[in-house]
Amino acid sequence: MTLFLLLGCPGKHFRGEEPTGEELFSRYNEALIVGDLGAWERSEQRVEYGAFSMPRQGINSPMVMRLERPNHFAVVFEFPGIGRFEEGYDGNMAWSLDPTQGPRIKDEEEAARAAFDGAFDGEVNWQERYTDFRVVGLDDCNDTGAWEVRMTTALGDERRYWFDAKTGLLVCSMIEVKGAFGSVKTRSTYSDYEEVEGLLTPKTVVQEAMMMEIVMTMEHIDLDPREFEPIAPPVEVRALLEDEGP
Amino acid sequence: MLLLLLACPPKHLGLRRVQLETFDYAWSRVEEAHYDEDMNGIDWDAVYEELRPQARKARTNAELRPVLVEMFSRLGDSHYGVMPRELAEGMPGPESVVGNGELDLDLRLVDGRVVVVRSGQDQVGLGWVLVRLGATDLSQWLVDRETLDERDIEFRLQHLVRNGLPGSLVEATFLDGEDAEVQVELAWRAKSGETASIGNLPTFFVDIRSESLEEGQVQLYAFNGFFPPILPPWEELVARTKESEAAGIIIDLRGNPGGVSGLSVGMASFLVAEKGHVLGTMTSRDSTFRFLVTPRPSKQRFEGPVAVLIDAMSASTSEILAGGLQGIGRARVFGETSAGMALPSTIETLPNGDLMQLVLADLVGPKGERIEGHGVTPDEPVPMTREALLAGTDPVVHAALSWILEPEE
Repeated sequence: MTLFLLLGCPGKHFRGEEPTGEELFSRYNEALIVGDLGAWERSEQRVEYGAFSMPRQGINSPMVMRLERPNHFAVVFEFPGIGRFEEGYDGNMAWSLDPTQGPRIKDEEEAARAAFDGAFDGEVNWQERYTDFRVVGLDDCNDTGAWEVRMTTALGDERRYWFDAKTGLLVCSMIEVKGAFGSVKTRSTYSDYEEVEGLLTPKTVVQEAMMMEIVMTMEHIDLDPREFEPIAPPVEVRALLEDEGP
Repeated sequence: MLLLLLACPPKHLGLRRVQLETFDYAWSRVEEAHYDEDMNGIDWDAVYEELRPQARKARTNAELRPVLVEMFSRLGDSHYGVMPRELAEGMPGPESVVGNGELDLDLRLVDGRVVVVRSGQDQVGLGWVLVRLGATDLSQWLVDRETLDERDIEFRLQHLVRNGLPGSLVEATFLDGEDAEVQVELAWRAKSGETASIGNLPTFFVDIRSESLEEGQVQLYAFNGFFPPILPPWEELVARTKESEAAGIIIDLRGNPGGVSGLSVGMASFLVAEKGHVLGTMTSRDSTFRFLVTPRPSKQRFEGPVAVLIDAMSASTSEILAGGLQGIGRARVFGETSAGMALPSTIETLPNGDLMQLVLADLVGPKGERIEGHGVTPDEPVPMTREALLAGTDPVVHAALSWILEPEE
């Protein structure tokens, strides 16, 4: 019966024809929106609470991400035995504060990428964010039949996304993160989609980079919380500007 | 009954299954994570076929460990290993755990003998030769030098004096400065220092020593591993050096086996003034990561001479810092060539509960030189001699002091 229902209700069929990348993104957006998005559209800030873990290494940390329109963000981890790790972008600069390496102001390329990835509305505005969509074909990703799309970001980076052939939802991605620190390929899987104020959100994101696995789980999201500290670099990062002069 | 038997196989079969599963997992993880797709030219499938029958016989974690160690050894790389989970778990208190006691001695191979290079024991002098410790006859280790290289012996020595039961006593035989035999009873003390515990990493006792030399003209900083507690006192030492207008800093990394690699960058950030310097680059099959130094604000930095001391026991993150500062021209390195054990690694849990240290990448220094298997070569090679130790001097520190205080025109 379950099989029958699944086969009977797949939303939009592509009937053997290969969809275009634009169609896959449209379908992805349709699949994400399952209710009234009024609260999302009205919100200016949000806070996402979750957990970060590296299960093979036995490392766990709470994770708090604060976001503010149009693309400001700050994400904070507290690693037992190591300390507080923070990354962010405030519209002027992108930074990281690593308890082992110290504070760092990211270079222009990294700041541009932080501004891109911190976009408050994320993938909803995909038409403005990506060009050169190319559908590679049907593939298997995270045990799911999925359409692979390669596209170019507004910054000129190629990214690869895999959309579930049945549900239309994003199931995998492959992104190469570049900067002064080097170049790291990151493979991600997205699962456990749950509704938050009319929008489906993946509660579990598993990333693999440099042969290490990172699991991020989202516990809850507050839209327009009553108290929202403005996003700004921490004091250690601001101190780096002292030598730069006015 | 037959059904029940089938449903409940003998216990040892279940135990063997988990060991075999562990062997398969470890073999696969090494294959997928190794930085070289050609596995250093080793036929990795053949290693599997050869060693799996041995893994099949293992019923306990202890029986499987030598098989895994043999498998790792085929690659000829450092930083692979397997250890009992108990090392990383619990640790209810240093005094209650065997292995958490240390003798407050540092030993090195000097001129082919096991010599005391640091002593916190009143009865034991610098430069004395250790002949026997408890049941361990050191002379036998030296006979084995044809099969054990000097580095292996030095690592065993380090383990030997850091693996006792706190509060207990052990008999030791030394040769003093006149080569006369001296028997003493040494007490194992609980390991001292701040504990560092990160994920699966075994709990580490961080010992930090800062000294003011030559009436405060030079500050020396030494520590036994790169863990987060080393950073605040380092920042204080740099501030003190700057405030007192001292001539220079000595970072003593002799005997330091490494630790969290990012701390090399954190320490260097207080010494480097120009942006864009990289201490080293780690490379996996599809990614590269640079140890990029972001200079601290000028009021927090020390820009005078920096000497780094290394020896054959300076490994891993010690080599990133020493080789990195040397490569970017920020420090002069003194002592002996380092261990050449510099592969970035992580510690993962195996299906049988043991912990596996797994190499994730290769590492090169700022000029592209590979550190694994080569080590960092000092700018000024200074061997440790027994004569100097017996005279109460440290020739490596002395050479660094001379360079800082008597710079050539």
